Amino acid sequence: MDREATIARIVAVLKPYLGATMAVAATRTHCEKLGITGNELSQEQLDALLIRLANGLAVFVGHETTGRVIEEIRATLSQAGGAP
Amino acid sequence: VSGRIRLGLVFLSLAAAALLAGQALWPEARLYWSPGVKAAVPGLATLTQLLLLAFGWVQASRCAQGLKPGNPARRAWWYFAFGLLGFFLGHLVQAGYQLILGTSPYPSVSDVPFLAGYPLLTLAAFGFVQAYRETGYPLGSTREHAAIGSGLTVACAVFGFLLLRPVLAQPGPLLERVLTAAYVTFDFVLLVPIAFLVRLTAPFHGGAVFRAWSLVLLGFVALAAGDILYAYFVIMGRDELEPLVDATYVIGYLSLVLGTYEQRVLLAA
Repeated sequence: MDREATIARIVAVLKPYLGATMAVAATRTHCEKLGITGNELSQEQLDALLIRLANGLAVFVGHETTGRVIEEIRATLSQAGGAP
Repeated sequence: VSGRIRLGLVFLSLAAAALLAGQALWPEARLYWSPGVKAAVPGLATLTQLLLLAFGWVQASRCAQGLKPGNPARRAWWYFAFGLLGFFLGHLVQAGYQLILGTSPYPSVSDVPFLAGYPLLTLAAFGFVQAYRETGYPLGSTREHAAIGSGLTVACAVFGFLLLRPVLAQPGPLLERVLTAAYVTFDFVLLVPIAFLVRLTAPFHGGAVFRAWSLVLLGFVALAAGDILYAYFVIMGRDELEPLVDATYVIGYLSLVLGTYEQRVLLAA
């Protein structure tokens, strides 16, 4: 998966909840913390990134909404042919 | 149903706040000539505050229930809900005084739940700060937070001291002066985590989290402003401006309740 394209799709789903600035900052910060620095993103790296984002998001919007947001991210990426 | 109740509360609160502000700023206006209107305005204010706080208690409890037991924000939401309940009980006792005696004595038994509400709201605010810092989201470094905390504590201590000294030096019963000083002190303590939360939630601008929190934080600031205004009017001997304090409380409660409602909707989105 292309890293930048994947990040852009994740940010697009997170934006209505976190706002544009935090959606970008949170996703990029977690990428850095997980050592996701190359141009490509593996399935394992994506799963780890989504777990990190979900753990933080749950504090703000609860587990139910977080579950739906993560599902939406996965569906968006799947439609784009990036990941299942 | 909650949406319709919310809309009704917005209209009722704005009407009550406008009537209260008018009574304080233009007491000679034709509207206030009637003894019936004069008597009805405090009653309307109390009823509005009770309805707002009851709705706020329900929404805040649902926010707490909507988070899993391990969620670090859950406990903070419970503190917040019980803080609102304390304020509700305070206003309920005051309403009883108004109905039986026709006036609200100060100090009175109503100050007990009011004063119990402040530490709960302060614990809630600190709890939210702690929970949001633990999310791993980029919300500022520990050093930055320490600097903000130190600066705020010093600023609140200085302003608090400047305001409290003349309040305590006023003539009048000691208990009354101590209570007024206690409310202002609680407000300044509460303002420290509130300012922190402003910093923490500002980067969420444009999102649903920010919409909910900006309303909650605005509500806290309005409540503190109400208490500080009250203390200021006591110092200046301007008792006739007290309805302005109640108008500030109504707007503060409304803002807190709307923010809590937004948060509850967000949890169930």
